[in-house]
Amino acid sequence: MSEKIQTDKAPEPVGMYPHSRRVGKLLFLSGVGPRKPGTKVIPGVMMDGQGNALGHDIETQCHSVFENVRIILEASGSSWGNLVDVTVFLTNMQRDFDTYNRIYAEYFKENQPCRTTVEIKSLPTPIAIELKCIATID
Amino acid sequence: MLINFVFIFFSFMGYLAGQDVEYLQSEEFKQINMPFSEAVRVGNLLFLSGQIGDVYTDIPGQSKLAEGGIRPETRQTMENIKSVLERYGLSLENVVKCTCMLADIKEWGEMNEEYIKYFPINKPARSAFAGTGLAMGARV
Repeated sequence: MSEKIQTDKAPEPVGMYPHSRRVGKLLFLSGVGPRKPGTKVIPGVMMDGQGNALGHDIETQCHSVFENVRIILEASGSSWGNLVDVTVFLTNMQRDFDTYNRIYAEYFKENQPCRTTVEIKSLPTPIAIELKCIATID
Repeated sequence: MLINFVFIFFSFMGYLAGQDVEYLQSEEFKQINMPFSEAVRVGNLLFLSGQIGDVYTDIPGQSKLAEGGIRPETRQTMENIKSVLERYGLSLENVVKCTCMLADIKEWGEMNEEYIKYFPINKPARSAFAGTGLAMGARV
């Protein structure tokens, strides 16, 4: 009825869940952040020695999280142009919304999926943005 | 026969290319110049972008929140959802899943009381949670 998909090319999930799951011609992605695949490095997050975030470069995090979404889509037989619904979680709407919104627009010149943006208190790793997506599979 | 074949071929290619997806934006929505669609149709499913309880003002491309807090904002949000659904040939009776994001979980009860008025018969699946911030300082 549905098929779960996992790929080494995307950041390792932080819990017992797949990168995506296919149901017919729809693809549901788990939440994904900007962490660099195969490492614990998070581009755009300045860390102290204790694993605490000292600062965020939201621009770098946006590019990195969009790249991770693209990797998962392609590893699942879908593509960037197949996105239909995007939920964006930000940890600091006031500081980051404008920058994120500007970069987001550059990535969605062709297709414009539905989108919802919400600010939340924290995410499981010290990141400032996470995406949850639904796409089609041709 | 050949024409038929060509037609079938292109229909098949259309199917492969996922042409049963439509990105939907009304003229009013286009004016606010956001980088997303107000709805996307995929086959028999319609996905809606997040809605808050805002109303368009006389200035093109500008909107403001309904006044009075969580109850008026919830009602306006539901009216906005209803308008989008109706624009694309559906109604609130076709809703199967809602995610409600609140500015404060203490307003869950009041939101619910307004929300439920819009779903007298079929109750969609739902999740509700509070974040720490929504666009335009909205309550829901």
